[in-house]
Amino acid sequence: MRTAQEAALAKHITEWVKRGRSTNGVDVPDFSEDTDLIAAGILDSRGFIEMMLEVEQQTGNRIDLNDIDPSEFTTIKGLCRCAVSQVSPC
Amino acid sequence: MNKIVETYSRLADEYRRDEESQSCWYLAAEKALAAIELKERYRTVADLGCGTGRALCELASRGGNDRRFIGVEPADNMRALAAELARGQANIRLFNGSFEQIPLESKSIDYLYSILAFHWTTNLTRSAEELARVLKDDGDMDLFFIGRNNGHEFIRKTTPVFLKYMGPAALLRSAGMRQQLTKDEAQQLFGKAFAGREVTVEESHDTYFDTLEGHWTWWVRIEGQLVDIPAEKRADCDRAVKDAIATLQSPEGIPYTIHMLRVKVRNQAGA
Repeated sequence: MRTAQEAALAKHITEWVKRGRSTNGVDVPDFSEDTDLIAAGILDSRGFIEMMLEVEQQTGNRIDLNDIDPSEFTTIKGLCRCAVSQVSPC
Repeated sequence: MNKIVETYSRLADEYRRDEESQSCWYLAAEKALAAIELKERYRTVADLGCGTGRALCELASRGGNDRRFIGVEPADNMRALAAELARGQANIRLFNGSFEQIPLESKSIDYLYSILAFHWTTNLTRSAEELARVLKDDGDMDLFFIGRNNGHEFIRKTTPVFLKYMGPAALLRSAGMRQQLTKDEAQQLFGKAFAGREVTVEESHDTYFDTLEGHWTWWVRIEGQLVDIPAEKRADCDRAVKDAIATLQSPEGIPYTIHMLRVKVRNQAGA
């Protein structure tokens, strides 16, 4: 069951990705919370670092990447689920 | 010693071969070198992250014997190659050091430059402060390094491959080894470090086309970021990376766009 916090975080991050890509002058293809952002070429590894920092700032939790399934890590929905469920404070 | 410095040192000979191969990085470095103007008043010139000393020796050879040239390089074997190249040029001295800890006196340098090295710093703020410390009050500086959108074609294609072979934690660790600032971020960083000085940041995006083999010759430059790939997976990873890059093939060749930032600090009197 998805929590309200997860949903709100995912919505915020979706907007953040759209805004950031537009600012970079890059066309943003359509994507959803389930899109694999790396496979779709929407974010590169550095873009992911920036997104993770934004997620951590929003939740106050540090994301432990060693506990993340790579397939979860690359979607907004999966990453937000991990961020909210992990409880180590930043 | 950090992994980037250690790897550059270990692969110094291969790096020199890349320089000789006229890869996109060689051409970008040549363009930066050509933009450097040695003014008469520069008596002490320093190259930070001088590598094998190519630019340093080139400038020293046209700079005159009454001018001192200093190269600073943290990778031992790169510095050794620079020393070999500088043999016979009495106006060149080489030091072991890094952007984070520059082994030079405060306010001792008239002209400070660096070509394609600053993005490897491990501490942006400290490094910018160190540069400001060693430059004379009326000194000039030109720092050329890669920006945020560098190599975007390759990175988009190879990130899924590296994620598969490295996993999320190592991938992000690897990406974080290289600092890639936007123009605005660079302006903010250096504007603060050189407060009261005239600081401008220029940027360029130059796309270089090459064959797959041609691009592969410069792969040594990012080797330090790949050391976390398990050895038994490395050959498969290299193959997958080559396959991914090959999909970028166009009639002109395979593109690689170098996003270069140039930070200029100038004596406000303009002399």
